Amino acid sequence: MSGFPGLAGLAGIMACVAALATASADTTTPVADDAGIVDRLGSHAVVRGNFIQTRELDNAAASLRSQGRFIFWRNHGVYWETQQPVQIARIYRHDKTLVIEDDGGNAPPGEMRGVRDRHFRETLLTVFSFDKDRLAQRFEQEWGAQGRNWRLFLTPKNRSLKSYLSMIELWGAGNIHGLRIYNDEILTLEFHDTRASESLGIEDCVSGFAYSTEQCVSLTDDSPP
Amino acid sequence: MIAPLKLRLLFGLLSVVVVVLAANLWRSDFALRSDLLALLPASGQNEIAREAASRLEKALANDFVFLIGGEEEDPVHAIAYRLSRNLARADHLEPVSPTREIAAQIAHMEALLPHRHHLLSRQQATALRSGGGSEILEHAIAAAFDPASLGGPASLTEDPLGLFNDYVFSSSADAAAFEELENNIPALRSGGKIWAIVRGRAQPGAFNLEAQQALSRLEQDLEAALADSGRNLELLRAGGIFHAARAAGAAKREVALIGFGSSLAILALFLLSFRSIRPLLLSGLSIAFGCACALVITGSLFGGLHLISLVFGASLIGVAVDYSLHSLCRREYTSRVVPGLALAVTTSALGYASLMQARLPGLTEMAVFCTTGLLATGLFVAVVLPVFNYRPSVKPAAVISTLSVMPARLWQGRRRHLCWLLVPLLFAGLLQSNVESDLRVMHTPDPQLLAQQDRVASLVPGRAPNQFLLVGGADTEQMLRNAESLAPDLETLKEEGVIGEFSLLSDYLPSTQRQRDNLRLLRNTVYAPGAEVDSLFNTLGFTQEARREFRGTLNESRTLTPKKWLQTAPTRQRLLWLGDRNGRSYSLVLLRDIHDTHRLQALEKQPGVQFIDTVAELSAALAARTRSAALLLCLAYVAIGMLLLVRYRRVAALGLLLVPMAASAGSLALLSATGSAITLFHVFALYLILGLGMDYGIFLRESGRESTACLLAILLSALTTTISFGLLAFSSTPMISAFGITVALGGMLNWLLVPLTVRE
Repeated sequence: MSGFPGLAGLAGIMACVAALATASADTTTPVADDAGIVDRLGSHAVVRGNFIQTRELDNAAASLRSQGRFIFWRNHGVYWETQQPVQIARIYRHDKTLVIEDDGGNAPPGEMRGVRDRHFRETLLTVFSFDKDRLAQRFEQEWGAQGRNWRLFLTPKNRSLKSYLSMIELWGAGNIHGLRIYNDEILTLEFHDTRASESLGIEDCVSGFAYSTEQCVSLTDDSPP
Repeated sequence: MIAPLKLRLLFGLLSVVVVVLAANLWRSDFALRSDLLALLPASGQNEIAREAASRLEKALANDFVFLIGGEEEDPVHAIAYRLSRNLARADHLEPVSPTREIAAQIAHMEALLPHRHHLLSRQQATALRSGGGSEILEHAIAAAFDPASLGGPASLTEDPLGLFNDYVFSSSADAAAFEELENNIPALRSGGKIWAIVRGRAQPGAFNLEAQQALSRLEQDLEAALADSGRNLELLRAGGIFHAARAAGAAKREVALIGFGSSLAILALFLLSFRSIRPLLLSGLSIAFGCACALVITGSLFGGLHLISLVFGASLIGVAVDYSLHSLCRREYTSRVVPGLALAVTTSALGYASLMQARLPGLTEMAVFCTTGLLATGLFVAVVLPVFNYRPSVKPAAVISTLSVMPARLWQGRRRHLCWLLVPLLFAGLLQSNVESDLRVMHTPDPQLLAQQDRVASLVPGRAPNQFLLVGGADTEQMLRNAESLAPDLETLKEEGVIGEFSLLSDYLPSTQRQRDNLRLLRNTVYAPGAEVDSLFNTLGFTQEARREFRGTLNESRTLTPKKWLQTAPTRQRLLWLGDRNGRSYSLVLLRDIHDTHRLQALEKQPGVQFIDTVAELSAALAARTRSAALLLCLAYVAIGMLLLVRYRRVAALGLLLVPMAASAGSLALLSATGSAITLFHVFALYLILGLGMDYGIFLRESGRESTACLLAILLSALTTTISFGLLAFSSTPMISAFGITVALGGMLNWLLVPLTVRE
């Protein structure tokens, strides 16, 4: 039986993971902060790309792997679509998560509720937005950097988020390359083909963020409807 | 002039008792109370319903919440953090820690893990019964690849189809609604704004004045911080304590205003009437003595004083001054004590004392306060004032003299005609009267607070503390089964929009029978060999060891007992548990957004179910009390009539009763004509009109040669009464206002009608 996050055993696992992470990054230099990276990543209005997700389970013969694509749109949220082996599409807005039904987009998106969903939404939006204040409010940060490569360990400050995850590890070079959420299990998201841009097309706005065409036409990056 | 020995001894004894009690009171913890509900009758609920209502009130009514909203997170967080720190430091207030609740919920989820195969939500059981296994499998496979389903008390091996995780997270939906800012401050996002939530609880309760003062200081600091922030931040508040604090603040202001108004009016009247400060000092002395006695005796008897008693007490000045006026207006002393003083004090005290029949703690206190105050003032006037031997040396101002004889001149030679004119008008007014006993008309909440409360409710929904269902059973198992059989009806009411949400104990602690059914259902459907759970293991590639481990937990699963559940149940869930009372077991069903109480009442046909509507029951009790108060008023007239017959030994003396009777009827007719509904507190005021009317009639009848002086005293008395009670009419508390306006009208009508008690 595995306990709920926060158990003493978890602390042991975390200590090992942290040690491994430090060991694997032995050529990187720990730094207090890297404002340059945060500023650069925090300036992108739109980031899109693909992901490969790996969920490591204790009792499964192999890890669970899935893949899909995402669009991050600053101030509006993240469109997250798992394409293989199952089809799941979600819109993570700041105040809610919308579930897009697999029916060709005819049905209006449903709303998802639940503490786990909320924690993931908060984590995803904080990480993608790379908002300095938001990061500082929610996490203790520990930076490591070597040349263009960087690694960031985020430890939740509040108890509610701690109950969901014990640590997040981010790494990249220029953009984010990957994200690992440590819990009883370990979930890794590796990003590839990521591209940053300054605006989002109307088609992506409508299909990915469930706004009407009129809303998408009038939307600006700083004014969520 | 010296009063009789008996009176002097009585005065001495009273003084000694009051000094001793005052010394004792000084050492004790004297408390001022402000709970308006203490003035209302106990509802007709049975013992268990009362206990449930009181428990809910303690759990929900003492809580308060602040919401600070803005477009940017940082300034909102800064203000909320400052508020939560101040709240943690404040006396008589305690923060309701969101992290403590979350920790309790997590601990409870872990404690439920060994019982997970016995626990299913109603929706899950319905899906399994209707062959929804394939959908559950589909959902579980999708969840395995969904990063948002990470985390939960049970791992994928322990809960492969995610049924337990879904069950516990659906039962903690309230906590899920909030995100957490830095320093564990919960928040939510709505309408493009982020709202930080700061919750607190008043200790020992929302009606504690020190808690209200502490909250008021917090609010002041908060408002200053909001103004200093320079941002467009919004503040919302909700909680009974805000209403209680507003009511207490209004009562305090009213005490000051009424006391000041009465004092000022009396000062002006004395100067106009006596053109000397001495009578004012003597009257002030008598009132001060009466008030001090009332304060000390009432405080000692009740262990404190209600603010409303003080408000009524402030009006006591207007009545108590009557006795000194009658003493000071006399130009000649034909007897040692003012003629009729004893009878007047007795009838007035009888009027006030009749408030005791209401058997409401608050009103009993008021009655004791006013009765002791009047008796003490009367004794002071009889014993102390003659010692000063004061006689008016100059005539009063012309306006006062003219006014004092005006009623007598008005009636002179026109008695019959005026009666024929006024009686039909009186009946016409009375015919329009409308008796109202709805509790809601007794309190007018601050509209701004109400508007804020509505907005808070739309963002952070709460449960109704005054309307709930009580579910009983011969034992815990039966009670839980009764709750389970109620669930479908509640679901229907929810679908029809009769209620918003409901919290049912059996959703968190199913009956043993239901738990066994749940396990059987799982074994026969999705957990059967070769069924959905095995499909999932195959799809995800789980090892044989993992499958064996899962089967083992299925065999080892145990039922969740009430004892085990109670050990870790979070506060919000445990609130539903009442336990055993008088050989029966009880639980609560909390409701939200109630739109039709009749439909909830109809649920009482279900076994063991009772709908409790505290507001409706209090209103019904209030209506019954209004009827009995009116009946007892008639009996008070009879009792005073008999007293008059004993004193005067003539049937004609009963004519004295006609003055307060007509003044009461006239007041009600005037109020009804202006569209005011008659409440219990209007009826209580009629007792005082009776006392005052009797005073005027008795003094005039007993005045003999000094009828002019007596008419002057009656005028001054009527004016002071009208001013002091008339000021009460402006009170923001409807019951005080009702009392004040009725007595003010009655006082003036008593004055106009009093010449009818003597022959032309």
